[in-house]
Amino acid sequence: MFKRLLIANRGEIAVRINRAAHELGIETVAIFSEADRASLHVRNADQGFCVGPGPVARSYLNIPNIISAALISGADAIHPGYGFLAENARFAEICSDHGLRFVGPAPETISKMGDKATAKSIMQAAKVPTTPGTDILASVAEALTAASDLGYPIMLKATAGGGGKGMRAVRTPEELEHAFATAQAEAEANFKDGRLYMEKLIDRPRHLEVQIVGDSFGNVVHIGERDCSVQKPSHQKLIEEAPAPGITEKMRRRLHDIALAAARAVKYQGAGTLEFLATGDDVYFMEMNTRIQVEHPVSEMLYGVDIVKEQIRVAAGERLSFKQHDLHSRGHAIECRINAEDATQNFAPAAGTLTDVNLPGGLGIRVDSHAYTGLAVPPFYDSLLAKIIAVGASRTEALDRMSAALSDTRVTGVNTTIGICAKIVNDETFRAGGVSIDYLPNLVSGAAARA
Amino acid sequence: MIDLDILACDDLHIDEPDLQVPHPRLRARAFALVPLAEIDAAFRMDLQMLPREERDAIQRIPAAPARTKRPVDWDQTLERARSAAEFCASAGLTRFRIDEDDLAIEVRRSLRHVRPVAPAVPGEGGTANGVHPASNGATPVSEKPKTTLKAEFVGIVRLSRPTVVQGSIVSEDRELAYVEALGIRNPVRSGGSGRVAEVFVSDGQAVEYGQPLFSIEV
Repeated sequence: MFKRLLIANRGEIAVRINRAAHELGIETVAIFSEADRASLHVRNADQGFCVGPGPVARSYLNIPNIISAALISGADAIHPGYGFLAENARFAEICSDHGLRFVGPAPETISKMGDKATAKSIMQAAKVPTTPGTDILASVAEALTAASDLGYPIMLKATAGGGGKGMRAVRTPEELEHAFATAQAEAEANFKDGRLYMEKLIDRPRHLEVQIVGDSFGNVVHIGERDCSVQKPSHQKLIEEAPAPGITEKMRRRLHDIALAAARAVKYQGAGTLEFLATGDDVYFMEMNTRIQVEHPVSEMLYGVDIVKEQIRVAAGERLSFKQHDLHSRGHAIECRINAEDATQNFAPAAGTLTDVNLPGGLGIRVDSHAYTGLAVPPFYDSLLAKIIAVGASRTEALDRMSAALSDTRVTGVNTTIGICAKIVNDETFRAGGVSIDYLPNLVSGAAARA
Repeated sequence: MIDLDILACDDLHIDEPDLQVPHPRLRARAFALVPLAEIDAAFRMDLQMLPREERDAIQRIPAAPARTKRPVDWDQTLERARSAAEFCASAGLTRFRIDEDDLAIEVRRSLRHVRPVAPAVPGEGGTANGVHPASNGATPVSEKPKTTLKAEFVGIVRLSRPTVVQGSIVSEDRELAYVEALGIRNPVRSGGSGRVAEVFVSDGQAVEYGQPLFSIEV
């Protein structure tokens, strides 16, 4: 097992990883920017290094200073958390060049899954259902033919893409030529790679995903699915739950089997997530995230396992501590993300000092957070302040528990998503289960229209 | 249409769909990074971070042939320093520096004591690449502005010889220490002459970004 782990992240996930490491008897090294000196992740770690000023490019993405901090602190491994350097294959490579174990999959796996077209062809070879679509399109003419074969509406996507860049929904042949040119230019500008492919547009899908973990002995298990359909207009998730409500047992088993086949196809090591779009009985592979995800506690609470500890164990060369038949889900779990954002202003991020912080507790409530009264929330980073997870024997009990917990939650000094989360967990449509990714955008635009 | 690649601009950080500064692939490309590191030490460590094939490519480039040093013509150098000092005074400047090949001439003027600028004469600490007229420790004691030199890199600090202590007089811009990170020496320079008011670190100590190293009274 590792002796000392450097946590190359901040905020709630750095606090979370620090806990897992301490449970395993591993010393921790925090890194932080000048704007984060007072953050909880720094206080909880055994030692810490400031690696740069506030802007992420000079601190949390400052690879030389992060590697140097790892080397002089005597760390033997680096946990990247999520975001920042977590899916940077070159960073994983640099870690191993300097004798540091990167807690995550092999660099090759990260780069294969990071390239959408490569990931899709690997998945097709593993018989994982993918969205009907094309290979790289050579010209607009080829795109027009492909689109009429697939049937409109279609989606143009950049193979190097991410964050919605180089993506265009096209509903008629007339729109295609212009959309092709602009998507190509956008992809070229952002990724220096203008290659596009096309997929059938899945209308009003649900976002379902499956958590998997694998070790270096070829063991791969799934830790169930999550439903993350409550997404902001920017496609960032706000509420996640497990198990996915309203799907048949057959569909659930199919999702799990597909995820296992996909993970085995890339000999996956560590924690990862396969994301799918689902409509009716159809599921389509969307992408694989080769890291721990924000919403991992939902699965942890449902199955009673510690995914971050497993990540660290398998990175250290140990076997997974459980097998598939050891895992059983119990009840229902739901997570609400408390962000420093203004839900009435299209979730614009807010910065400021938290003047009062009261986080909920009690039976069936878990809170992962770095927030405390007096903490200054810098403007440079992701707006996530806290994750509240409620577990219940049934979905109704979990939602009622969440509703009560949210009314106990008090965070002042910045705008937060507490209000919109409370509104959703008490909303009839959401309570009925099975909402699509259009649910939240419609809810907020409807509220704006009424106002 | 002009394709303009902006590599970096001071501490500017822009992350927008159509413009990213610093350039997102700057740190992956030797042809951009190597010349940049030559003019800005802040990028030197990034050379170690280049992808393997890029690093190998650098090693295949033959080093530039060593230049033979020109012998310094002292009379001419002093004459030029004198002209530089006169120009500095007449233009109302406090500091003036000429850099060429392996020779640099720098003159400074103190604003606190208004006096005719003395001809620049190299003191006993004077070297071929620095001429400093006013710093013989004769300046009267008064409220002096202090500058704090901070670590730019996470690493191990090594004090350079001769080692300065509190009260040491630094007669010119010199290396006081270097921060060793990933096998690279990142020099910490005094930035000019002055008195060392405080030394915050000891040799071999680990330092983080922004950690104060020295305080200098200018």
